[in-house]
Amino acid sequence: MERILLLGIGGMLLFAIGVIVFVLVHQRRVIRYQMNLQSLREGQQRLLLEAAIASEEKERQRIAGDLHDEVGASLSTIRLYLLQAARKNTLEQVAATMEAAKEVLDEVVSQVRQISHRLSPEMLMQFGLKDALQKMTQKLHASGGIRVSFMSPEEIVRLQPERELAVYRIVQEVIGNMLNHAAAAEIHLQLRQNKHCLIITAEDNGRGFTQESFEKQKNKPGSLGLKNIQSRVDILGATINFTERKDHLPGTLMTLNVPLVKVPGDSGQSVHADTR
Amino acid sequence: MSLHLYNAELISWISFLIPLIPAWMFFRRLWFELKFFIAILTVSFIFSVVVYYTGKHDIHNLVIYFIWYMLEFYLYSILFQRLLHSRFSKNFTSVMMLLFAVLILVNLGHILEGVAFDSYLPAFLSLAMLLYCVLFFNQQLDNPRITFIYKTTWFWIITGLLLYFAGSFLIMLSTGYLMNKNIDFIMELWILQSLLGIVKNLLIAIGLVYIKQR
Repeated sequence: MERILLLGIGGMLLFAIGVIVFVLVHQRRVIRYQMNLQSLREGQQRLLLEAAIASEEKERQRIAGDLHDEVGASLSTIRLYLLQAARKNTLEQVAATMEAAKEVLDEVVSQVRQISHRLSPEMLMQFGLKDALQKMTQKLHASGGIRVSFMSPEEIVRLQPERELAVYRIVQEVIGNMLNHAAAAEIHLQLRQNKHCLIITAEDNGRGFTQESFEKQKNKPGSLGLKNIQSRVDILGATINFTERKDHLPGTLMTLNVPLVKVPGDSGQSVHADTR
Repeated sequence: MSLHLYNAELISWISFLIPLIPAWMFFRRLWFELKFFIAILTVSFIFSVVVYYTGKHDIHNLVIYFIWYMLEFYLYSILFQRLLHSRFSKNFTSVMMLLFAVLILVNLGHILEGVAFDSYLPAFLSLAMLLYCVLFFNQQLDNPRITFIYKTTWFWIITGLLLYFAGSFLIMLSTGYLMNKNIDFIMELWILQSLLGIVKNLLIAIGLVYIKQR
């Protein structure tokens, strides 16, 4: 009896020691896991930062190219016209040269407007995300190469301008990928909202693209577009998911959930009071 | 009672002073739950001194033990109810308090007679404390804010309590039965329990070192 009791007490003490050892070992595992997670996060952030810098640089190069090739060339032409006009003898000849110069000048104005529009879509700033996305889909559809449809309720909450721009850029990038990489012939874009978030879905009938592919490819060097998507999603405090279509036909369904609440690090109100 | 037991019990109650003296000195700086714990420890210290002296002078002290266990159980239950955050844990402590009350009512006649040591109350107290400690550790493991658990005051306090009550459970459960059969063996077991009490108090004192890193 005494021996059994002593064994029992020993067993209980061993149990207590076991619990304490387990707690300590588990805690060490948790710390190691947290450290790994932290270094992964840091790596991810570094990649995103690099992508943002590269993207900015690329954008600058594009603007520089546009200015040089289009605006620069047109301005040189106008200069030539003006020089020619100075050498003309009759008023009619001057008027004709000036008319030609005016036409080129109109082109320059249009080119500058296009460059400016690409930098910050006017429609988005003035009328909001719904109209800007509608306009974008209409343009794509009008090109004739692809069928693009757009659906949205009448009233959609307006976000802060920079948040709307970020959402617009994400959608632009996703649709661009659907066109360029998925070889889609049909895209359906939908904008919805509930109490907590703005939901944008884009569905295509191209080659499928999964969340796994997104997670893998965004970390690869060179995949600037996907890195930019992730970076903007993080800034918005949003979530993005790539899944197969609900009808299980070939294609991809992208779902972007943008919270309407204030996100950490966001200096102002996320949601404006006015709805359209 | 054997001399060894007296010595062990004497060292055991003196060991209470290791965590208590600094805790009393810095009592104002402690946060509420720790103040409450120090108050429980002070109550335990007073009772251990009382039972030591009554035992030494052959004064009947079984009712004092009963009051001690009852107070200790309810005070610790209230403390753990504050320390444990999940609804399950809070309900669990409430159920244990209710069961303990039922156990007191069932054993009340036997306890008030004061003829024999009642094993069930301290055994139940030890078992409940073991479960509270496990629940507390489980809660700590789920807390992502704690990076180094062994640098927290509560880790050392709960470790001390867990070891003490794990060792005490079977000692307490068998005391009533063995009291009339093998008193010498019981004395040895109580020496072991006193040693566990000393270990507990030392671990609590270690925990108090980490107060600043709260």
